[in-house]
Amino acid sequence: MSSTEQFSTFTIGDRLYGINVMKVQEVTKTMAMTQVPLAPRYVCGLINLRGQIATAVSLRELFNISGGTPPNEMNVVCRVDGLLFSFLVDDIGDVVELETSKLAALPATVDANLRRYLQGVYKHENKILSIIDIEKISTSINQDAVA
Amino acid sequence: MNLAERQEAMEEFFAECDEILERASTNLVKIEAGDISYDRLDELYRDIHTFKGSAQLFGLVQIGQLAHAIEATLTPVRKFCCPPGPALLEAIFESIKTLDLLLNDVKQEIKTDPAAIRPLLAKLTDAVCQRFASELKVSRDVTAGAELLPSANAADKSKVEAYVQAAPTPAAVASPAVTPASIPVPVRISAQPKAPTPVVTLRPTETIMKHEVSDESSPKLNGETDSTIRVQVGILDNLMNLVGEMVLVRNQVLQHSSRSEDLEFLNLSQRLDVVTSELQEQVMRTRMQPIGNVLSKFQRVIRDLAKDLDKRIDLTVHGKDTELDKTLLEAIKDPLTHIVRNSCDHGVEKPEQRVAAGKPETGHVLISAYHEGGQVIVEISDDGRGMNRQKLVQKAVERGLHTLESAERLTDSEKLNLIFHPGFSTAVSVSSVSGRGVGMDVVRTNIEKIGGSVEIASVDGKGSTIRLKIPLTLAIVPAMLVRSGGADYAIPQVKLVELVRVDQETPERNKIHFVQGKPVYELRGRLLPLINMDQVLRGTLSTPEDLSSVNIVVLNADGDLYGLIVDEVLDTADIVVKPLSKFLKSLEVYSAATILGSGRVALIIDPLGLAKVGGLQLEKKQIESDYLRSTSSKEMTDSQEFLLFKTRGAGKYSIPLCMVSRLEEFSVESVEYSGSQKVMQYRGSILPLIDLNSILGFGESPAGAVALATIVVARNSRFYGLVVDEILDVTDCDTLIDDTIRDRFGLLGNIVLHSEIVNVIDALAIIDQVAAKNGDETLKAVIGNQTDSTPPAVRRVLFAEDVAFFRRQTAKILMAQGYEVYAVEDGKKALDLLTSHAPHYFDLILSDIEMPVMNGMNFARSARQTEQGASIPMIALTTRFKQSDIDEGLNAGFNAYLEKLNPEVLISHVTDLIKKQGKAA
Repeated sequence: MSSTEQFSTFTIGDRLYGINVMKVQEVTKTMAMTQVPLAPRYVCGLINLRGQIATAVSLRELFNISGGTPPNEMNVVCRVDGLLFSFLVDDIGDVVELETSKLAALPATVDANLRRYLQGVYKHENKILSIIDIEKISTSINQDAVA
Repeated sequence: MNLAERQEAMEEFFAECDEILERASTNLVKIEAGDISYDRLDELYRDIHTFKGSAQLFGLVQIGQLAHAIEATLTPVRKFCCPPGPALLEAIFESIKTLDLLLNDVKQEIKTDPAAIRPLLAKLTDAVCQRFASELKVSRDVTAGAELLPSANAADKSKVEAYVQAAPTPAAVASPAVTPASIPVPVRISAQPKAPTPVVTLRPTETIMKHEVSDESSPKLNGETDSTIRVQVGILDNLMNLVGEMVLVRNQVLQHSSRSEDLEFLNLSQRLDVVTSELQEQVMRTRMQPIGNVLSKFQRVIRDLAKDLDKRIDLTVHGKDTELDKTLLEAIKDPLTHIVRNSCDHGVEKPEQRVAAGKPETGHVLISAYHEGGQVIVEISDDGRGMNRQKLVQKAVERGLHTLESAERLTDSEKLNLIFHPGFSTAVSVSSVSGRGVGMDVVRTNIEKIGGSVEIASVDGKGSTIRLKIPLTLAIVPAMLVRSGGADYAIPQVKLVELVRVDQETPERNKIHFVQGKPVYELRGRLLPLINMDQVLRGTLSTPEDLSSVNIVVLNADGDLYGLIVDEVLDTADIVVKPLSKFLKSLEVYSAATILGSGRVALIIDPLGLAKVGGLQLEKKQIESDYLRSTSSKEMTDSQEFLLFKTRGAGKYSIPLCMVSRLEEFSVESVEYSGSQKVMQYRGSILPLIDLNSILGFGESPAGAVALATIVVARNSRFYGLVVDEILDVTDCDTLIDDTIRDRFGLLGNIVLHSEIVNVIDALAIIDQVAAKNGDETLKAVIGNQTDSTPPAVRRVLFAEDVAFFRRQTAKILMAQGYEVYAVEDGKKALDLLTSHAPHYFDLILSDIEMPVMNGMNFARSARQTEQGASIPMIALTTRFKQSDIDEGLNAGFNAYLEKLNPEVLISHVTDLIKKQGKAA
């Protein structure tokens, strides 16, 4: 029997993304945000998540996806290295269970900037589901900041 | 016991053992220093006993054996309550060190050779046999003659033997059979010249027996254990976090209640407020530990180091009770150890070098911990060789950190700060103690990691001081909330200096100037660079008109001040610090974030980073250490307050504030004349008015003025008025008065205030000149007296005065007369200095009356009690001139009571008294 993984899926524009469900702490609706002046564009602000502070990162900005943001963005909250990130996405989809063996490498045409945040892609119900590696997001934005 | 339980029990055991060993070493060091009491010996004995018991409980045979051997050797020591002697002490020290090492091995699960401790056991046994063979022999001899306690003696002797034999020494070791009788007595006695007379040290057997009985009957050896329990730090951490959350909820409730009309709710929320604050404080306290816990181990560290390095080093620790959060305490342990080792290795010289440099053989390391401005300061000072700037620079060039040219331009503090570069060590050779390249850079990184800072000060040849500034606790800080660009920010209170509101209506608005297009604010004479928070953070542009009405938050960025313009100053609040993602911290502007009462997140501003991003060029101020200041009497540079004023001459003028009695503004009409001298009726007497402009050669003051700004100065118990054009401000200055340029009469020299040169007037010379012209009889008499005094041979004057200005000026006056002046800041230091020298070393004592630590009266009284101070002439120098003060001074032992800064009178008295003294001797 092959092993499976569960992914929490969401959309940004017309694209479908997934994060391993074990890494997602919770999903919330739009929350009050405190802006961080001088921070990179993709940092939308800081969120008070029941006494914990989460850094809200717009995946749309980070991935350079064109198009306006909908009025009610959703937060996908993940914990990386003890700190909370809240990824802002357009809409939340289902949790899907997929066989790990079906994970395909990213096509060579995918932009290098995007490449570093992604693990690979699944074909799921005629759609392409790109799997996000949140650790890679955390490390690369921290590296960008230092550089 | 399952594995987890055993693990937990072991950890508790280790913690306890560490405590015991530290306490034992502290006690041993004290005993070595001659501080011997039954209680101390008893505590040491009991500690080792407890240690042995716990070790055996955990089946640590080797540790148990060694502890038992120490206990056995201590038995006779405690019984006779006498010094253990150097050989035995050495053996015990070594054993305790070994116990520490063995414990570490157990912690890291390293197997050790069980035979390894045998030589040590033998050493202990030998030492105790030798020590007490002589003790018993001597005591028997003495007591036999005096017929004192014969029975007790016999019993003691047999007991010692019994104890020594009872020590579980391996058979091979015990074989030489060193019994007390077999050692020739005379050798022992000569080897122990310091053995006190047994008659004094012997105690009646009965009391000792009682002590023993009580020991055995109560297995609880340490009374303190009853009132404390051990709690896992993890639980305390959780508790702390929960309280943090609770503080937030409390803040929210309070905010809500302020809008509510419900009295009941208001009441309840107020009680919640009080209880929460209390709870927060108490929980914080559970995590606080006295810094002494860490510092006490340095007694042993220094002792061992001194031995390894062949040096003589004393350690003094001040402020052991200063409390600090446990995590912080843990975090500073290693950096502190490193600094202390550095002080011993690089700082303190070998005894012969010290003697050659004219210092006492024994070097001194001082660790002091104290609270200051919401921080804990730990200072490590040594009186060693200090840091050689030349060497540092040379090293920096060698390492390629600087070129020769750039090294030239380094400021003094930058040169010192070179030691914080990775891999920087000036030790010529690498010793086992330090100089291994892991150096001060690691110290600084570790201290900065916990939000602290490291400062360094050093005088070449005199010693160095390293100052650690550590926050009290990491979790909760008091902060000021400000609003800028519609968002709220928190600024830690420790970085906040003051708040200034500049309004259209107030005269303050004239104090904002533009220098090369950059706004500055004139704060009490100093120009404060201004940055606009909104402009830095959001790039909005402000025009000069915007500055007509602003709020300025004056911030301290590592010693430099600047003003931050904010939209609104909101409130102060205790905020719970929450960490930020690394990439947001790297923006430098924010140090962390917090959650406000409203539930919104607010960023915590890092003033230094904000200044950097705002484009301010800040130069780090040089740090002066108090300790160094006191050790180098010639280069005292205290911060000194000056009154700034204007005359018709260019630039600003000033007078030391300590000389100013009052500031007055007189109307021109009230000026009268006495002969050609302008005078005023002032407080029931006549106040001569001295026009500074004419004295300094700037011509008469313009006639049009309505009011005369006057500085009133006291002299010879009379007042004089110095008329100036305008009184500006009072400001601090920490530089020395530079007296190289005095182009005209009436100037004392110059000071540099914020890169502006300010003239300092010599008010006393000016007054004296005017007074002489007017025929002041008292002054003439004094001057006449002075001329026929013969100049003294080199005489030593001990001088206590807390105000730096007076200290320097008076010392200068005396030195000009050929006296050697030993200036100190308070009575205590003066007394120490006096008693540390032979009688008649000093020829005269001068003392201020009002001083910190020990005032002049108490100093005089104490000095008169000492051998050195019994007959020495003492003069009080003061501004207190009531008859009752004078009487008290004379009663306390002063020979004369003089006014400060009256050189003629001072010198005439000094020479007079010293002459009298010479005749009497």
